[in-house]
Amino acid sequence: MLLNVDSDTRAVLHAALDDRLDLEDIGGLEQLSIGLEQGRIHSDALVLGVSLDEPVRIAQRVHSLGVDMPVLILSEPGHCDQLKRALKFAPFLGNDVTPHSIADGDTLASVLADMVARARKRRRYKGSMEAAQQSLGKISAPPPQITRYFERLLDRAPIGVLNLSINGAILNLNRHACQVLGVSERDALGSSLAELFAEHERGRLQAIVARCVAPLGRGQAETLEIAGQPVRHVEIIASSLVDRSGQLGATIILQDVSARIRAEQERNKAIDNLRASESRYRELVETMNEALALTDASYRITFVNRQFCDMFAYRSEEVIGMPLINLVHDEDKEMMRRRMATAAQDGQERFETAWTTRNGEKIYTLTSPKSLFDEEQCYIGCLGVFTDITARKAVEQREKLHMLELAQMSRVTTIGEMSSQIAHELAQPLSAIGGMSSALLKFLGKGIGSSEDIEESLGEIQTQAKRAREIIMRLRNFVRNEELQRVPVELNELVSTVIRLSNVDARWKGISVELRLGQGLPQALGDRVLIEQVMLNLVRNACEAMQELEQGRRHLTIATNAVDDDNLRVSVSVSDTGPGLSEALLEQACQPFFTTKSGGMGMGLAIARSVVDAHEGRLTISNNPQGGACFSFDLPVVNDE
Amino acid sequence: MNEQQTVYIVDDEEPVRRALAMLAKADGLVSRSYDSALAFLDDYEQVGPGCLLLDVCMPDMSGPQLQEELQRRAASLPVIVITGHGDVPTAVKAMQSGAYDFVEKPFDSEDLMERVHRCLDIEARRREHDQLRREATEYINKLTRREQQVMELLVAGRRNKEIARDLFISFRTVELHRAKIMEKLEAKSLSDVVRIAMLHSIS
Repeated sequence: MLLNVDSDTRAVLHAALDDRLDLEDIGGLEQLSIGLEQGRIHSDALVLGVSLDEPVRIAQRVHSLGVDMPVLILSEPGHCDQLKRALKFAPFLGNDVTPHSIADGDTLASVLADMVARARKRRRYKGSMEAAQQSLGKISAPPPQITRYFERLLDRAPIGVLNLSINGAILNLNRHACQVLGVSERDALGSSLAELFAEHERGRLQAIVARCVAPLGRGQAETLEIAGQPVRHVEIIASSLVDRSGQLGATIILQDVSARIRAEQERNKAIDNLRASESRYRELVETMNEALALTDASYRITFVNRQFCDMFAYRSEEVIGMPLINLVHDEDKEMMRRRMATAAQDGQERFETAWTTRNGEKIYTLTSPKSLFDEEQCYIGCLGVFTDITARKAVEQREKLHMLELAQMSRVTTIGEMSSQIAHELAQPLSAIGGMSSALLKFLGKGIGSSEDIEESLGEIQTQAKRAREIIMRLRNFVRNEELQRVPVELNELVSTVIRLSNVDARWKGISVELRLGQGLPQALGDRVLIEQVMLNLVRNACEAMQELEQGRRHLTIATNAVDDDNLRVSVSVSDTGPGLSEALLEQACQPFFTTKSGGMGMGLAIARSVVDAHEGRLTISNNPQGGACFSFDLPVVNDE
Repeated sequence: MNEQQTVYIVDDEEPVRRALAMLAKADGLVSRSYDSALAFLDDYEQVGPGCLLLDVCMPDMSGPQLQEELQRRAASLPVIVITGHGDVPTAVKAMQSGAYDFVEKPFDSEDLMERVHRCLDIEARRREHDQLRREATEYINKLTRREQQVMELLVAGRRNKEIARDLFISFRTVELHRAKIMEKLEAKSLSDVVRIAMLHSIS
């Protein structure tokens, strides 16, 4: 049968084949379609002319209608190879579509003749096979043992297997396939497989099936979603199936992969979360104000954030791999080495560190280390967060320097202030000594005065000389000792000495002194002379505060105690029964140059406080509940270790 | 100088009190010691001529406070202020309050005693002077108004004739007044009259 074959070609064919084949022309495409659909065309071959636009589609149509008719497509010489390639990949085309270049006019007739011969032979073979099948079907012989075995095996196999006809209907399926698809075998048989899948997956399923049926179609595992809730996924591998009657179909292998998909989805979600949190952390690490560095177990830097680079003036690639110790300022290297040596065991607490930046600047940080361990609790490195405290440190150092200067200045000022006090104190014994000695000389010169008088006077002279010496020693110690000299001090003994030295009874009329000395106190650690000065100052203040009171009400109470909070300390308190201090006074009392006394410099309490501070103690001022002020301070004790 | 002079000592420092007392004793002076200003005031009735050695810095009542009190009582007792604080304000305050002298502790014993003696001498002389003045006034109060007028002119160096002319009285009357004056004033010569008149005019 010829469609749109040009007259030249037709003439060639007619000349060559007229005796063996009938050549018929078809009016057009439409006629061909109708004829094929109605089964009225029974031809041995179809020749498509060069003028046809879509010869391949026509060939496909012929094949899809199940008509076993070879097709010869005539083509321009230049298009023949391209056509051959197209045919190779066209689905639903069997082998019997043959392109032929019109240039090869000589061979055309023989090719067509061969095609016709092949088609006839095949049709004959197919006819005899059908006949045999029909007769076999009547006998319905039991399936061979091996087939039954395979069927049983398939039924037990943990994979679903089903066969599909060319139009997608389920031909048969094993038990597992029923389970996978969630249908009974009865419902499944004959129904469309596609309908069991989610609507949006049906196209894909058909494509899969079509692909495996097509020549060179290769079954590839694909995952599809099954209709219904909860959502389940099935992995499908399709391969082409040719049944005994030569009908095309597909064998589908099904596997429920819902669990895997779910796990995969969860994993993806977890990975997404992880990525999100990682990026969050990265952002946090990069935008945080503190510098951050990671090191390995040998304290080589493995990671730094931007702030770290800014702080140390390095680029991150310059510091990575560098031992952290290289950045530590010389003064802290030893400390850092010690900490590194024990970091794996402890060392999570914060500490201050001095560093040297690339510019050679010295900076200070508050360093918060965190030791890192792997799952086996093996030390794998350290995470450090560094807060820049250089500015604060500078202020602190300036203040410290300032305080030292102030302390030195106040020491000098105190000496100045003290000198009048000391001169006064010294004037007494010197006056007594001078007076008594010249009186004695006159006594002796004139031969008056009893020997008892003279002896007593000499004794008094000695006592007064000793007193003067004590005063001078005190002054000398105060001037000389620029550094604190920490020695063990018996606090009770010191208090008694101060009371004796300050001569409260004699100098301050009508003040009763009560000593409440704690028993078995540990020894305090401090500068004896300075502590004496503090005590003297407090006692003098207390006495002066009670000047205006009537005599019977002047009580000075000095108490010593052991205080035990965290670590053992000893404290001394000096209480008076004076007017006490107002709120404002309580605040101002310790400020330098603040005084309520007309003749005072206002340094006494300021110095007392700085002395107590230097001993890491605290000077506290309060009012007694029963009236009067209470000044107390505490001191560290001698550590027995 | 018939009355015994006493050195009064007020100081809260016992050793200093004792030393001062001994110094006084060595110089043959009588002393009385008080350990506070108040104790001295308690004993004020018994205080006679002499001088007061007063410490400045004492509890309860300071030296200057005692000085003020003494001024208030118009006491004539001279005060030597002894202070351990030899500063200018203390000295000024002491002198303003009428101190006779100002001595810093530690004092030089010889120097102090010199000052004490000088103070006592002056005090004694002042007392003597006071005594004479009082006597002169007593004498002059015995004279009549006319006699006083005559005496004033005599002391001014007028002769009897001139006095008579000035007072419009007779020469004889002037002579009589003159004799009366000499008698009342127990004067042996004109110079005695002049002395008594001078003492009187000062007071």
